[in-house]
Amino acid sequence: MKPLQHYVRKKQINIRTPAWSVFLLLLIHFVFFTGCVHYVSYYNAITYKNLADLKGEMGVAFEIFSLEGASGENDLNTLEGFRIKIAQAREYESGKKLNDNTIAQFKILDENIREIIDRFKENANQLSAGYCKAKWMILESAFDIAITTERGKIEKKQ
Amino acid sequence: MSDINEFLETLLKDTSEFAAGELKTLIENAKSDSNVFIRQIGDLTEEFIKMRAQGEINNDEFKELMEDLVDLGKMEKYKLKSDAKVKAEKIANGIADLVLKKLIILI
Repeated sequence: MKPLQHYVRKKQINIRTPAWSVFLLLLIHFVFFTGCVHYVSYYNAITYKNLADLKGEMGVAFEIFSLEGASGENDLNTLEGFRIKIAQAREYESGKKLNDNTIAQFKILDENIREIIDRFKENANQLSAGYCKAKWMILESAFDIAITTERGKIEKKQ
Repeated sequence: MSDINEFLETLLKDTSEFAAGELKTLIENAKSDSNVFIRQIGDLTEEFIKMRAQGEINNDEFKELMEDLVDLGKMEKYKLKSDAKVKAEKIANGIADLVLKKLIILI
């Protein structure tokens, strides 16, 4: 009968062969790509709803602004209301882990609405219809990108 | 007026310094790209040039909108499933760069 060391030595030699290395590498890749490990937050219905609601509400307001422009206290309050809602949604996103992409997208949406309000105030509380029309084209595309990003995330298994 | 050339001619009637052909080619290439987002960047650029030529927006607003296109390129880059995110960002930056650095100072 051969001593135990013989088998142990033989096993160690086998593990070091290229075939074993390749198998282990494939196993690691399989575990990684099948979702056992992921680096992006899960799909979140609240995020999706926040984005869809904001897009809908802002779409209606900017449709009107695109015809007549925006002016006066009421329109400023409407714009400020959007800024608050975007800031709240951005805070919600900041609280989630592995969510850098959506946080960065909300930051751009936030900067956009601030830019609109700043221009409104600098321009004696008014915005031209053309500017509102063009700005909505940008915002609509921005919301679509953020919504598609959220839709592309994996749903968490219950 | 319906062609991008005519809008650029309206904007640049007092100058011949701008390479309108370069911008026109960039926009046309973007509009015929296979990627939806890149086509959208081409459409938006053309629409904003048209709006500026027709006096619907002023120079400062036009500049802001071109910078917004760069931001859209960044947002697209953050998208998880995008088949041309780097190309999209490059095209948005290229068009905006040309407009912001060369066109805007002439109109």
